[in-house]
Amino acid sequence: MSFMTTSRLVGWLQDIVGNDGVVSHPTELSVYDCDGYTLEKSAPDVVVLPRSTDEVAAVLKRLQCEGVPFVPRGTGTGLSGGCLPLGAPVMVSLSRMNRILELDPANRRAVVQSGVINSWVSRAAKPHGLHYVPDPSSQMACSIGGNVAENSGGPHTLKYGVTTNHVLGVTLVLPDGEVVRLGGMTEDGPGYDLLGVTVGSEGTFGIVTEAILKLQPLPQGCKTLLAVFDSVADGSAAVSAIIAGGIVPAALEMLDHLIIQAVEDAFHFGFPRAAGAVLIAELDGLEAGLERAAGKVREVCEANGATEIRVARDDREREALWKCRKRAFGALGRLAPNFCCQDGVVPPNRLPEIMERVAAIGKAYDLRIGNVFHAGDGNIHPILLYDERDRDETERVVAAGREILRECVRLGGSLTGEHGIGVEKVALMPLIFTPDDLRTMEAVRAVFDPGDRCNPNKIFPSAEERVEVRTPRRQAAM
Amino acid sequence: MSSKLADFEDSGNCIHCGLCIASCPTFLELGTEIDSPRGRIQLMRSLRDGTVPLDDTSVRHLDLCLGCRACETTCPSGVRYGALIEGAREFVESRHRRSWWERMKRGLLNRALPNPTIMKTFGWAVRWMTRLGLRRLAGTRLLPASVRRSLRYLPEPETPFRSVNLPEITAPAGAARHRVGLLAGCVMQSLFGDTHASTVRLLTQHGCEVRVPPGAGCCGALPLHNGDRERGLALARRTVAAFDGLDVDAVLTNAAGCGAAMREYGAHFKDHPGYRAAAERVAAKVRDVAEFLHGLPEFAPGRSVNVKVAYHDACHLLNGQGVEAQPRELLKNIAGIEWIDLQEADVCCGSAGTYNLTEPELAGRLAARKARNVVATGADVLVTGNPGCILQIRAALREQGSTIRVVHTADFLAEAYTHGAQARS
Amino acid sequence: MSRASLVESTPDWDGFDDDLRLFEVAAGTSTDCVRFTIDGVPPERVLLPNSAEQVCRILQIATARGVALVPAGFGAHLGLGAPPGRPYAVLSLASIDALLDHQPANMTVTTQAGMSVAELQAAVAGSGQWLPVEPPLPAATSVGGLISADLSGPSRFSQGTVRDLLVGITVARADGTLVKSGGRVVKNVAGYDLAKLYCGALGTLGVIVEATFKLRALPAAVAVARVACSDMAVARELLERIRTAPVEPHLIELLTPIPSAGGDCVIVVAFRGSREEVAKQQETLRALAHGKTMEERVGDAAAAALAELRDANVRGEAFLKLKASLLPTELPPFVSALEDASGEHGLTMAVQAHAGNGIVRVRVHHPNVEDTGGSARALVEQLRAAAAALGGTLVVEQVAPDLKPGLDVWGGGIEALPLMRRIKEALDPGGVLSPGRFVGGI
Repeated sequence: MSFMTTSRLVGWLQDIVGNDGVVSHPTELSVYDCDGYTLEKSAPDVVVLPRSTDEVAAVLKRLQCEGVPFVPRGTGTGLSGGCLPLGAPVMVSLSRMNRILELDPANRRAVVQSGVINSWVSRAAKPHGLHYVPDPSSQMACSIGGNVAENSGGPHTLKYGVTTNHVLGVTLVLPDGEVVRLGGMTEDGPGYDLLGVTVGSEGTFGIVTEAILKLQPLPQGCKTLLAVFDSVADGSAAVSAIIAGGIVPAALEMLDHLIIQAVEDAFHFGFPRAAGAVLIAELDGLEAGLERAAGKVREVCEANGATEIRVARDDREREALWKCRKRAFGALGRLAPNFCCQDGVVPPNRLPEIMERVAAIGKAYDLRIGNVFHAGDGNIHPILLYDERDRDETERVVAAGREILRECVRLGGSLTGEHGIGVEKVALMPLIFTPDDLRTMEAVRAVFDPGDRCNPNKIFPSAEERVEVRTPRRQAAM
Repeated sequence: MSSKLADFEDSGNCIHCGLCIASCPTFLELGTEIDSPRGRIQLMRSLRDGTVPLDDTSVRHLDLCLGCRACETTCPSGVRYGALIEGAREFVESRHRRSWWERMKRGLLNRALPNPTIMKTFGWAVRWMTRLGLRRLAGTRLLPASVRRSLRYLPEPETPFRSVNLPEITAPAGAARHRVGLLAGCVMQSLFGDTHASTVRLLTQHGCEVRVPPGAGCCGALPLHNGDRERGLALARRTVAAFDGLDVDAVLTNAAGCGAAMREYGAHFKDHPGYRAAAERVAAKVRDVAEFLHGLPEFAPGRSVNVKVAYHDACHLLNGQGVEAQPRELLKNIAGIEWIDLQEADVCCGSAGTYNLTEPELAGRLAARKARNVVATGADVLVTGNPGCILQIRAALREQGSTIRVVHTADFLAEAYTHGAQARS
Repeated sequence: MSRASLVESTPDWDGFDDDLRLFEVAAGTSTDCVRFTIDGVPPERVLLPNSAEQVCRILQIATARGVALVPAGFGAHLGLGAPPGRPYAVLSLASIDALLDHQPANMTVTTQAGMSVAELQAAVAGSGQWLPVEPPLPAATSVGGLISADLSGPSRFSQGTVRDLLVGITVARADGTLVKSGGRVVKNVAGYDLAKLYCGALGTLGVIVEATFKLRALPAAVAVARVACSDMAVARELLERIRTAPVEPHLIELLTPIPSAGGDCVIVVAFRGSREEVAKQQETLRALAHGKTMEERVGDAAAAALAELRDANVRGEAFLKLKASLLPTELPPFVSALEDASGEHGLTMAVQAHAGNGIVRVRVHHPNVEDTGGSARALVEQLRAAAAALGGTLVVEQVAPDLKPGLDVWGGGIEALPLMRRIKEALDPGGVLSPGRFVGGI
């Protein structure tokens, strides 16, 4: 946008949200140039921070009049560049809409503004013996609005499902400023499940300002086991065997050798540094069945070559263990100045194969790759270490990441389990969707955002990219 | 180049994951990325690289940081944010010229607070003012707003500022089983004499000989946090010298900020071969008083206290020293206590050293937020381990019309742990 | 967009028949026409394609010839929704019924839409797994119908509904293109989750030809308990105690006749899981229900009781069947509203509520078969208003065919209706699929 347009726009936006609700100083804008995905950067021209649905609606109406594209942002912890402003001069930050509006323990519901931090919901519900189940590893910082946009998962979604299974309704401000409520406090409202398709739409339908969440009773009991294996292959075999044995743990998480070392250096939990892999298996539910289920998991792990099995003695040890797991990828900050956390999915019984392929790809591209993943649902997170000052290495990271995802698809899986397509994987979409599939999705998008102004240039590849899959979309920012 | 400035130049190993964001009090209040830890680190990197100018705007956002280091506790990559922001402040103070008013205010604070004589005089004056009812001036419009805001922090008649002169050696009640050093400090000995007395009583009645070296006044924390490195290091050197000669098991503090700063002495003198070894020796012995008492095998409550208690984490205890469980356990061990979890116990109250004097607006918002959470507990007493938090939260509670008492951990423990201990021994 | 503009031309049935013969699409018999009759209006044709390609062909032909199509499975649940707005052909997927891919190790199954839910359950049970959704009449319910009608049973309390289990879907669009969304892995956020759109869309957006579901392990033990409560207040209190007790029920149902004679209000609770879990929970429930009459069943007897409970509403005779969706805590006031209405209209009713979900199914009986049209309309209006006052909604699930034309089965006031119309227009611009069957005349 030209300087004139920007300054006029700033004035209009200030009229709506007040002077302190608009960020337009270059220094203050510079820090909005990326989210948790740092391979591409682009700062917005204006950031606006509304405090209510009405303000969001007024802002979007104004942007509609001016034909200005915009991008919504929660707390910017996304890992696929979902809130990177690409052709969207205005960023709408939901961070001031951070109030829990209503807690209804009897009906197990919470109504929250979309800037509320994920972990706050469980914190508020805890005195009532309830919690909000989806627990992405970034739960201490990510916003509910971001979770809704990305349909976020987390370790405990194996048994309980992801965000879409725990959201009953949203208030959506359409790109033209119209406010519409989808879903609601009750379960079976008549009509199309527009809520279901809005969750996971990566902020391309409009701006979700409020959400009605389902709460669940805290499990009566919990058993957390840590099984040590010589190799990821052994651990993966144990995962398949546990699932095949009819046990559904609340979580089944694996860390490989490189990650174990980084995490141990960071948090001194007491992981065996020499281990090839550790598997965290958490069982929860009624006390009555836990002991036996834990025994079964133990047996299966031993039968599949576990060299050691530990059980968390108390809540504190359990919490410490989860802290290690959830902050594992950050611990890699100690090993290299930059990393790229990939997110692919394979059917769980193909885990040994994909892990072999990841290792081979790491070798071929001369990269260090650590693996920490949601083993139970086959959601892998290879973490590629690099130094962004090394241009060649950065390019190899991009190429290796793509190759890993191609392997996931080849094995019957998907490009992303929980991080979203964002800008990162746009060019890979044709690997799993036909032009007709994509056109159908775009037709649905056009219903919500006919002008293609809400979070443009995400999810859908351009015409050229649909033809030639192998052309990288953009060069990684250096 | 100083070590902190070097840390700043290096900008740590921040990977931009953003997990720190919601732990940051200024982000919670303002919601702007540049007022979050991740945003500030990015700002520091840009200042370092020269891609963003060092001007009033960038300095403003660095000033707004409370230095509470909550982000450090959350950071998975182990970024030492406290060192980064101190380095950044040193960078700012050495290259950026502030307005004369700011310079005067900061200079005054950096000189006056660390000086026990000035603070004792101040405390004495306040005591008289309080008796004369001058606190009421805070409610009138006779004075400028900034002065009235500062007056809010003055104590009520029932909890007056009192100074104390601790003896150099206090013998234990029975046989000496431990020998500890205690930092007399600046603000503590000048204004919180009662808390010092409670601390000494707790220690001596549990077999500790308490040594208070007269050379150890201000530990240097306040000027160091404010980017006045030279003054800070001079004070730190004096403190190191005072404690290094003592043959003690531990060096104790009852002010969170002092403990946090003293634990970093080693890092501060990393590049000073003459002081480094002594600084590291002292730093290794630093303990918060609650942490130390928690570790004493003979420490047990002697008396039951029937009150509802909530606990607020002083930032520099929780984030600066990792002291979280110990004071809680000591309090929960007291019979008759009804424990209530304080929501956002770990969010800064806005006191943050001199922050409430340099950034009264945001400090006030954080204090009000804290007070709302405290009121919601319905507790009788809020316990916390730092003098600054006590003044800040007291003032905010008063403004919300609450009568909840705010008490230092040592004072509260002394109530429950000393009487019975006397009877027992 | 009005309904009329969706109809592009008068249907050319002869041309339609000719085209179909060319592609050798099997035609149904007159028996089939009876079976697929919707609200008393039989279809003009019944088509039984045997492949997804044929489905696409039929859609292209129907679009070209201006013929309306109603996708169906076996015709068991066609009473749901409004009758088609114009003469129609039924497109039955019953012959496209292969199990495509069951991966026990990954707990997923991919099946064609014409397979019955019962067959699917039998096929995966061999590996100790099941699809944890229990529509009524599973042998007569196709997988496509399960999704399109969003069928669920009492077990939705613990297992969720079909939208929670569907991980991928392949659909023939109205223009005959075959499109998919999702995939065959349980966790996947690539692209929009369009599968959700087809859940409960009653075949108005596309013809489902293939679906992939998550499976769960079949639990080892099952137990059912019926607890008799003297009245709603007692029932309410017991529900509250169950809600906060250390139990994880498989389902919680509340059954009561209206008007209640006292003592005929029943709470049914089932537990599934390991033997220890089930036994422990039964014990807890006994303590909670202390002093009340409680009848317990385990094993096969329990399974039979659950099947009966699952089908009760569909099998039960009634001239009007309603479904209200409420907050769980609003159940008792809604039951009071039902009591009031029954008194005013001289009606008796049977209520079956998924108590934990706030879903209430009401079967309305009429003592007098005359003049039911007027009172049906009035009753629906009255109860819909009662549900709305409690923040809920009410739909008519079934009604005698002659009463239907005058009834608004879905209810009005759907806030997102304009968006829904645009969705319909985007995916079925010609209005070929199930015209007029859905909300707002979609």
